[in-house]
Amino acid sequence: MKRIAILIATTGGPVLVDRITPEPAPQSMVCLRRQSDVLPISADYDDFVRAGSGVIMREFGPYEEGAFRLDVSGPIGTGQSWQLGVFAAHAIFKSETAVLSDLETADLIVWLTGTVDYDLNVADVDHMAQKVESSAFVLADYIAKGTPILFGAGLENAQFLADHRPPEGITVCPLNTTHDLLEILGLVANVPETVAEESERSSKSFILMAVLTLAALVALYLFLVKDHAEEEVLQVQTPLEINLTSDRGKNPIFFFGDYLNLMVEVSEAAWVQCFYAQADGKTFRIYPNDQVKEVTRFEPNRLHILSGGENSSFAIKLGPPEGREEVACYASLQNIDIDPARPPKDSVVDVLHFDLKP
Amino acid sequence: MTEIVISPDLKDAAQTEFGALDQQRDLMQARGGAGLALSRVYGYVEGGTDEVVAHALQSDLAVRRVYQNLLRRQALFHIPQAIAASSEEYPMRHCTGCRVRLQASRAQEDQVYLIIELADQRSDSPTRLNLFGVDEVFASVDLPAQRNGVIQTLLDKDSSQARLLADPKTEIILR
Repeated sequence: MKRIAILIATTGGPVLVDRITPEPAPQSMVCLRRQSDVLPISADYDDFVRAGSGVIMREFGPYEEGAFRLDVSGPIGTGQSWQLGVFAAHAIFKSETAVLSDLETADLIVWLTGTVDYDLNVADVDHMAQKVESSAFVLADYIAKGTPILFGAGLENAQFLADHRPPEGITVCPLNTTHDLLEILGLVANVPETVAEESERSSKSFILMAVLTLAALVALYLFLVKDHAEEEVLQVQTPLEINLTSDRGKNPIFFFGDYLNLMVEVSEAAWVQCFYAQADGKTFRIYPNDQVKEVTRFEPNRLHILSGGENSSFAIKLGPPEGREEVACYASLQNIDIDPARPPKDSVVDVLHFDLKP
Repeated sequence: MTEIVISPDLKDAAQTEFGALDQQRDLMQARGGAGLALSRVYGYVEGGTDEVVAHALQSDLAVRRVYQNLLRRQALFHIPQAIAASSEEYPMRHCTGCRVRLQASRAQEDQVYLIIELADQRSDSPTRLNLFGVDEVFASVDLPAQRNGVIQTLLDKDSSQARLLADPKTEIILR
């Protein structure tokens, strides 16, 4: 049995389809982390499943039970771009040659975004750059590990991905219909498993290379900022800029117990300080801190991971109070203490807002 | 000038209504300390969100009784205590136009589906399930919108809501 992990790309980070279970209930539901939290997309998922309005029962049914419970690893907001990933997950659930997998033990990771209409056409969706950006941190681990990764999307979305030259280990697949995807995954009878097999072969040599996680992350990052980097080469001098993001993108949602992984990029060599503002109004500095071995200037145009890096053996675990919180990172050409209430004029700032929930 | 006329037909109903309101005022005033305005409890009955009322319902028996009285008269569906005991783990409860049942989840043994089936696809479908157990225990569930005459959500099997729904002596009021 081939183990395939399905990731639904969202702007808040990739969401793993954990499990599908037929249920003796009238309506299908999407649940968060096997808990009783029902996601708001459940009504749309029920329509997508139901015979008549949807395609899942029509393509993969009949099932004894009339509904499914789909468990996912993280929240999925509004929109319909989850449909392609959910369709693939149901195809695997129905298959006798493949099973849904977690990321750790997957033979193949499939990252998907797109809508699926009643005729099984795959359509393009928005926010591609954000979705890739918010997936970088998670995928980097598995690129380094050598797990083959497949990016599947509609034709224009796939072109966008291909234009940005993804790092080795990622195969971009343009999809006209869901049949294209099933062929690629080897889930259609008598169809050679072209990409999947090729990916498996390349993964073996890739493992031997034993590429470090950080290197992969940098590669992914370069993939993301390629356009910006090309622009910068043409300019003799650039003003100081700072870009702050997280492993879950620019507008993430976190829950108590989650780890906040921040990533910073500066356009010129600069000193960076970051401050965390809690929902209750308290503000404290989170970078640098006493766990940072050596405080140095950040090199320009490369991704700096603030927590968990070689130079900074700390992690930021989120806890109460709940609410809208923010992290502000300041970059300055001078090594001075920054007061976030009155930052120096020559410093620049980028702010990451996020919701923290119990 | 506003003129108030009570016809003989309405007199009995009006007296009953005034009597009930008077009883509720007495109950609210008997709480002592900071009182809770009846209008706030009424607003909560109507589906409003009010953390103070929600907290008082858990901690204050007088507020709970007033709430229950108001709910009974404003209910979209009212399923009184069942007279006969049930041997089923999750007995189906029903009244005219509405069935309420729990269904064990196959995926998660520690969770159950709450399924409310409505006979008519009405525009004013219920938004809150209120459960009044024996010994005046109270719990509620905020409901998602109905779809095709069905309201469905998940409960933890050990939750107070699931325990109350498993007991046929629980009074169920949907508003």
